[in-house]
Amino acid sequence: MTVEELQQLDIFKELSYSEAAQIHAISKTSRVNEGESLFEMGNPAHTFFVILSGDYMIYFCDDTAFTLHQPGDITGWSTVVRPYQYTGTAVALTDGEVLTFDGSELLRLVQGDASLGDKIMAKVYANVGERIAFAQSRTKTNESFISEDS
Amino acid sequence: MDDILKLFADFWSNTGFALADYRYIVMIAVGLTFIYLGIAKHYEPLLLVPIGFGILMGNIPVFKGLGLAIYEDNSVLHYLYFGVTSGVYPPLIFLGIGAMTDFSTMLARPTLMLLGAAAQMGVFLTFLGALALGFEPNHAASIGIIGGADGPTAIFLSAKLAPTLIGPIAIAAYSYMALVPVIQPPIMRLLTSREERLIQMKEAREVSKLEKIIFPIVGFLLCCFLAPAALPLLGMLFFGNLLKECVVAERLAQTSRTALIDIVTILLGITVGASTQGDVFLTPSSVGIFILGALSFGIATASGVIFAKIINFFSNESINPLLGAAGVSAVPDSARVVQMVGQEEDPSNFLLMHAMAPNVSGVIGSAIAAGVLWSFMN
Amino acid sequence: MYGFEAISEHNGWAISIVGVLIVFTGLVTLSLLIRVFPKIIEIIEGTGKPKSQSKKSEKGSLRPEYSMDDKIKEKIKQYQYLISWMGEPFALPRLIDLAQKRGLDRPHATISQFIHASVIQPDGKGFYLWHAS
Repeated sequence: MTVEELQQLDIFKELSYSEAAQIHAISKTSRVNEGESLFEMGNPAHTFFVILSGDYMIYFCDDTAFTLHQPGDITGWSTVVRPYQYTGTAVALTDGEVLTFDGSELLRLVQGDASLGDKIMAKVYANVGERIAFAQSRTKTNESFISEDS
Repeated sequence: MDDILKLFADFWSNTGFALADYRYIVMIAVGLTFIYLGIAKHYEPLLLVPIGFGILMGNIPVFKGLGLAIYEDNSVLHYLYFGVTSGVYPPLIFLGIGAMTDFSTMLARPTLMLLGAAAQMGVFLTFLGALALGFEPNHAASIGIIGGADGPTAIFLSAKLAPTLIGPIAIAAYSYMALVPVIQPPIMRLLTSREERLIQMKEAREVSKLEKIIFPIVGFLLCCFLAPAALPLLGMLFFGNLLKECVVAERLAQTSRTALIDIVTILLGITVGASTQGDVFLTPSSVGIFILGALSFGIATASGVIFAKIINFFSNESINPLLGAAGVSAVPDSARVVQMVGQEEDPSNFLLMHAMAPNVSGVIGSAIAAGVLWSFMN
Repeated sequence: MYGFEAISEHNGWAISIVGVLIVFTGLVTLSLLIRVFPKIIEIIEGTGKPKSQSKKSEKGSLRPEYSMDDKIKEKIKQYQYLISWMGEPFALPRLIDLAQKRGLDRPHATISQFIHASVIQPDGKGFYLWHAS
């Protein structure tokens, strides 16, 4: 994916070209197959995902779920939000592509460019704000669930 | 046959198995613990893995006189250790730190710099504590700088003032930096009310490119005129930052914050670890250093938080006092801890960017404190 | 020598007080200087404002065209049976799990098709409802 294509995603819409280039430098595009897990509940959250194509389901230990379909949708935000471990499991419903960011690289970007870091995190929060409460309300049941075998 | 047996006996007497005593075993266990914490728990792996393995290397019992151990002349480790004892490695690390750090949150809200200054109280109060415990002044100053929460600064000052204590001071400093997410939150919660933790910071102003270029030059001149002994550390920090911000030397900035800092971190980590030989490290003074080190982190955190509350008395615009904890210059971990504790009360309260301001000013403050202590002790 | 005696003997109080004052003086002075940076820059540059760069975002076609499966009516019947057994509202991961156990072909892609066709709709509480009519 090119820098210009990255700028078309809602989360990166407000970035200048040089800012988007910095994001592009720490991102990786990965193909995901139908049925494949992006991340699993309870694992340490090291990777942050932006959807480029395909449909995805994120579900929790109490079987609640939501789905993501739009390019630019975000998941794996637990890399930057408590409890820093995935609170749900993400599964690809169809083949698709995602943009992945290593959590520590993202943090380094935030440290190295405050303005850019601020824009990204504000967008992350605006994008997922309502879903954070939904997901974090599941963490209480997660803590008892993690000790069980699935 | 006797000759063969004698040779085997001589060989055995030179092996680590024959030369080991309990102190080496204890230190090897410490080294393994560091490696475990770094790899399995992801606690500061870039520091704990080299230091942990260095501890293993330094605690293989070897026959003295063969030029193998770190304290023996002509040993490879000794040559690599020169960068620590001469104070070369820490300024090079500061060059990389300057080249990777964005000071704009600090430039946008200079008041938050004072929180970095307040956190340096930990340095001087720990200095007093070390004097009270009977350490001589040079050693007390080196122990006090642990409160600056800056590994390179602690190593730099120890190399100048207390070379025999480099090992325990470095291990204490880096251990507590890795434990910042454990040490700081209880202190932060104890000293702040829920209402204070909920304070949302206003968005900071935009900082222009020219400001970001002028700052390292002005900052360097001012700080080094005031505390010339801080020249090696602050000179490299501000130089690295200028390389980053001026854009025209991006290649040099890129090298500084990637290859150079990584190489120096490897050499510093492994040699500092290797310097912690059991017979040198396991002494009562090391225990005192570890206790004082923990206290210094706690005092520094508390000082920053309390100072933020004092500022709120006099200022129209309230500062979230949690930001004071980020004055402890473990960049960016203490800023991340502030973010974490703030989000416990309100998930929408994003404090990370604001916390970077006192965090990076704490780096400058701890370097000035080191320079001041060095000049006083000389 | 220990305690306060040791501190006084080595001039600890004076060193600490002066040290703290120097650190504060340095950072306070730096912060005051930083406050005047914008004014200095204004004088140097005049009052030119930086150009704001805002690129118009174009709708990219990163998303592949969604196409309906011809056999969707057959799949609706199969899943309707599962859902009548599960009851509504139902849990989406459980539906996929059941479909896999029943040997239904490509349950993930099928669920995705149902969602796009609004055959399955969220109830707003994390569970889903069936709207095959």
